[in-house]
Amino acid sequence: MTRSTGTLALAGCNLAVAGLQLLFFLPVVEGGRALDVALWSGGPLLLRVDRLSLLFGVVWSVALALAVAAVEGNDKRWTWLVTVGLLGAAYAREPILFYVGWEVAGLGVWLSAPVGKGGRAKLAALVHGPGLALLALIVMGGAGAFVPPEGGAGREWTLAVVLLMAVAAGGRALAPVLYSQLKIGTGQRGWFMLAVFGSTGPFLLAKALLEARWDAWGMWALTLVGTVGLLAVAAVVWKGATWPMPLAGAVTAVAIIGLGVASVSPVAAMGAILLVGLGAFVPLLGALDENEGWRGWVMGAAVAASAGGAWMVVQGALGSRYAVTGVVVLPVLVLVAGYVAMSRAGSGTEAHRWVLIATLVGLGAMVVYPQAGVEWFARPAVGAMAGGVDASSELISEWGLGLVARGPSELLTAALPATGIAVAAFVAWTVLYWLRGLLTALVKRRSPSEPR
Amino acid sequence: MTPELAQFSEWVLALLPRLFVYPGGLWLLAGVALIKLGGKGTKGVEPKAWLDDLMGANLPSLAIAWAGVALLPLPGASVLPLPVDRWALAATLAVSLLLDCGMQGANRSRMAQAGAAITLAILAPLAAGDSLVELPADLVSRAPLAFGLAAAAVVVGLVVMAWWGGWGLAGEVRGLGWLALAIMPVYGDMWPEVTAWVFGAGVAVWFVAGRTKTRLVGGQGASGEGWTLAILWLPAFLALGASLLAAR
Repeated sequence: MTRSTGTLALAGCNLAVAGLQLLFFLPVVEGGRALDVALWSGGPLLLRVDRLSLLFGVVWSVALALAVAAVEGNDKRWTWLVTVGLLGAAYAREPILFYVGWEVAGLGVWLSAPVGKGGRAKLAALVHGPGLALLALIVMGGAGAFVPPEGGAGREWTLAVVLLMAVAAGGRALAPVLYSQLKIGTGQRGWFMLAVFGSTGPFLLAKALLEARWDAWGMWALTLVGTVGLLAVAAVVWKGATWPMPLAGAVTAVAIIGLGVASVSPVAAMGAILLVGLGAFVPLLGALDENEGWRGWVMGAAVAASAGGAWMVVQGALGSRYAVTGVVVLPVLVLVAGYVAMSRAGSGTEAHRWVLIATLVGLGAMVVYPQAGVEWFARPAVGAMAGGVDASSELISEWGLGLVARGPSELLTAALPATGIAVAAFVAWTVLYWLRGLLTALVKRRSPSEPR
Repeated sequence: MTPELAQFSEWVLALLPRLFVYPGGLWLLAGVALIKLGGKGTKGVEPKAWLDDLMGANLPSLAIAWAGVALLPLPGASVLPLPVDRWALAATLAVSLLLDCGMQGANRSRMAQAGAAITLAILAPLAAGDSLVELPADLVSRAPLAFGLAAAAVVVGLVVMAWWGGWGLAGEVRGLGWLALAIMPVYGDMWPEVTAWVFGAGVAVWFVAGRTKTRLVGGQGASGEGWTLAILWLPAFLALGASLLAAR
């Protein structure tokens, strides 16, 4: 099968739109600035160009170009609706504009995604149903921003907002999962388009979070969405689906839960960021054995927890002079144990035993090291290095009880780069995973004799 | 939004240009293309060669190496709210190496030895300082020999690896990361122009090594044993020794 000129032109248009956004908007958002643009002079409807909207606008344009050009599918005539709708949602400042963009994009997806027999009505419910919740939210909050009514928000009002937000964003985020699990449609392109469309759910939440419009109850909405997502993922895994789809969902859900809980306190924020970091490691390590299914997922999670835990100890407890021994030894032990676990993963029970060992070592390192390290490593080491003089309590308190004594802010500061590395690796892995999948699809299409 | 969450948000946003433009992304792609050009000539940069490399790569290893390069404190890179320290960057590249060594068909012994020697050389200057994670601001003037030997040891390690060949896409990305890390005295804000030139010179040496490997060590069939191993490990140990002496 060869690609038609129209297909290439459509893909090229989407790429051009991505390029134009970068060309015109990148200087605007430099230094974290944002630009509000009224649709007409003095009008209430505003578009906003900021880093988040630019990021999603460009990513969606490129993703649609890839979906059109590289992924097999049926009807591409209505892809322009998806492009326009998603760009509208990306740059909308007002919720009502966001809603319009959402629905236009949903219409495009509904018209162009391949569906099975009787699947058109189900697809309509899937793409437009969650929008009704957002519409209800807009009605509750007026046409402007989502703000509590005058005099403060009542408990019931807040709860309703949280639930509606959960339905709206969660429904969108789960669209690709439901599309394939409910067997509404078949084919890569349909799933890909639903995945692009589904990412508008987390985007809505991210927009709300970064603009801090919804304060604590917005955060709790995030938590609720994440929980729903996690339960859905668990159900999918239970039914025997293999990764990476449930895996990607799980990581997203964990991250969302973490961000939601983060509104409670700095300690919770610290835990949230840790969760994001550890969750990010899951697919990286689980990817080592793609045929392992949910076992691979469990294995990856366990090894990630241990490696991440040890890494945290390194980052959190160090920064001073003498914390040498344990810091060098423990991560090496954990990483070696994890490596052995992964290299033996094909052998069923034995693999899980190794995973258990790696996990225990990692968790033990997190709990025990800050205290025991003082007695077992630091005191003798400091004594030896100081010429027989026992370590001063000041020196020990400087680092030895680090994780506890330094307090959450200190630990968080130490944890940020470690978690950031995990996030960077996750993003890089995701890009590579998709790139390899798309290239594989392209290669297959160029050699039609090869069985699919 | 709690301040901690805002800080994390800033961190991740600062990460994006690093990951996709510089030092990761386009810049990294250009560096890898140069290395491929040196090792395999124009055949190495043909679309099919890129495709084969990507298909055969260990994705987790490649992704972690990419992330490591993206976080490097190279001159001109966007500033992270909290910089990643040298230890963590070296550990990131080491994890990438560890995952790559599990690949079937890879020459584990060679890859592991070269990686271990280079990691040792990168971490050696830390012995001259007061901390495992931070290099002192005056390291270059305090321990010039240690710093110079460490950088030289990494270049030598990369040259030996170029002679051996067959280290894959992840290995090439890791190599660029190692090289950049070796020549960064203090997070890249000391002598940025000099650092950039030294980095360029290191890549040039690596490139030449790739072009001359057939003549010097017989190309792909070269043994991982013998004199190349001595060349690999000696400068790393010298760097460590010099650092320990400087600490006194």
